[in-house]
Amino acid sequence: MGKYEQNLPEQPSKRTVKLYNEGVMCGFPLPSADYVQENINVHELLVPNDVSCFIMRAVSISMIYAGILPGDYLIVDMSKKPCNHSIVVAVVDGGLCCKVYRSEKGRVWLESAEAKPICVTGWEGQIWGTVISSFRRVDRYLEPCVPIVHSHSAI
Amino acid sequence: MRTDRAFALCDINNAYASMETLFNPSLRDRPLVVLSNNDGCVVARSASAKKLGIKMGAPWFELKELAKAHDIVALSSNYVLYGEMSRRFVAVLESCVCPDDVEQYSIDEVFIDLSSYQALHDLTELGKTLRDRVAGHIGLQICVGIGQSKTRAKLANHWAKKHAQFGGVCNFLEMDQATVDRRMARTEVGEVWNVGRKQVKKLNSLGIASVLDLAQADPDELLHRSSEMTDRNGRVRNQKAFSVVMARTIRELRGETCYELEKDKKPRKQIISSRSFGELVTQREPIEQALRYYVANAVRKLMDDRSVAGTITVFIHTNRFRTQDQQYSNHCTIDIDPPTNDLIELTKMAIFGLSRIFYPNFNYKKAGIILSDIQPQSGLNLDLFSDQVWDEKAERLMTAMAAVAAKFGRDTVKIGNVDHKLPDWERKSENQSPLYLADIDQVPIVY
Repeated sequence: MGKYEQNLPEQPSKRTVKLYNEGVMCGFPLPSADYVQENINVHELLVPNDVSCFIMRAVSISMIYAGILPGDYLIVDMSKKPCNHSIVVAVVDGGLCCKVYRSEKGRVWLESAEAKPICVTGWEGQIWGTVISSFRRVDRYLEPCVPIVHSHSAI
Repeated sequence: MRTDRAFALCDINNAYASMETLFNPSLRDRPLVVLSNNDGCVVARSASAKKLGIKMGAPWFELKELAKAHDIVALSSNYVLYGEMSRRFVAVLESCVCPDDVEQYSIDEVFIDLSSYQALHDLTELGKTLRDRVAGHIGLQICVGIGQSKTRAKLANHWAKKHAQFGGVCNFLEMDQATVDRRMARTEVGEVWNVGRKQVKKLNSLGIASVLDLAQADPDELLHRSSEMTDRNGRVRNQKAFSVVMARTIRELRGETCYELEKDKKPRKQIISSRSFGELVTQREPIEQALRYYVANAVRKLMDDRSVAGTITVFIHTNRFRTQDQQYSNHCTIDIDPPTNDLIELTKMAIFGLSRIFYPNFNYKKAGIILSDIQPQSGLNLDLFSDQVWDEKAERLMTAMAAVAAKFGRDTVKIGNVDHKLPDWERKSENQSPLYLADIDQVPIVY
């Protein structure tokens, strides 16, 4: 476990991709540094708030209709309140589940393709956070995308 | 008496247990304990485990029966997780007030100097805002105690925790004297900040049992008290019973400010790196290996503080609870001249120290090193005869090793023969939760 301690970032790692405002053509020299306009910060794009965002991983197929494949990484912001049709992570039967949040006539429903919609009264305690982005590495997509499940309920 | 000061103490409720539950909601409402490094004793409890009467520091093997009966979950401590959640906790508070007014006191406690906020804010309301913010951003419940001094803030925090009617925020500044006296009279003196178990005994013998008794005691008179102490050789000596710290505590309890925020991290005065072996060890080789590891750990802390150490102590001992074994314990202290933070030098000394005290055929339980006489690296005067070139070389090596560690992980480069795989003496943590926040392959799973 020691090796991970070192990896704990003090500051979020800022990996950046340079954006050129001219097309790069084969055979031509690279545009000079003058053309570099600004840097896209992928981290900031996906994780707007370092303090309240947590990374999780989806494993089920029930959210495919909402654009989330098994194996996708989810950025879950705990500080963001969900609005109608937000994708949220909810606590259901002691586990974390990805659901679509729908409010209708003053009632809130958590929906997914595989299970019956659940009606929730107060969102506190049951809604863990709002999913604000999801991503996957496509070059690794053929690898088994369901990670080893660490479960402590069996102890 | 100055009354224009205000401090808050924010403290995470059942910190480690709450952090574990956050990422594993199946643990909600189940009694949960977190065990120390070697899974030896309880270092944290959930609310329901507290209700079962499990005490802090209780040895786990004594609790196994109770655990079966009440379905208690025991987890090994996951300090990588707690450290990151603690960092976020401080970050949330720093986003609410000026970061200069925030002092992290421990992994789950933060002092805030609220003096300059009184004019514009209702402090109780501000406390509630802090509480909501932390809950809303990182899902942890905190209690806030507010008072004219750090000691009062800490006491208010204790009340906020104990009594639900405060709603998690207890403010000394809003209480009238009669209420303060009544609450203080009902609280045991041991709950006061900086009053340890030994002092409670001495205070009790003077008839000081409650916090109110202490607040009404005369600090000058206490300072002149002496108590009879029996020393190691069985002689009875008269000793000063209380230090100046106790006088300050009394003044702080009365609402006077004696302690300011401590913003600069003070360098450590002593670094101890030791651990019990997972199993009993009789050979010298594994102990040497363990010592190399401990030295590396200690040197890392030393370099973080930019300090050097002047002495190193090596100690080993057998397990005194195994009455069937022959017992042995010894230590060896070596002066380091000039003081250094050189890993190679310190490792050599530790191994040499071990050679002076090690005897085969004992069942060793624990070994460790202590670095003391620690001073800042910058204030070091090299004497005329010390080999400066060698020192510079060593320092460059240390910097290079730190860089490799930063890039490839902490345990990549080591001195001599240190086992790379988690050796059995290093850790005996059987039920550690995943590194939810530090390793991409261990993030929480969502169904």
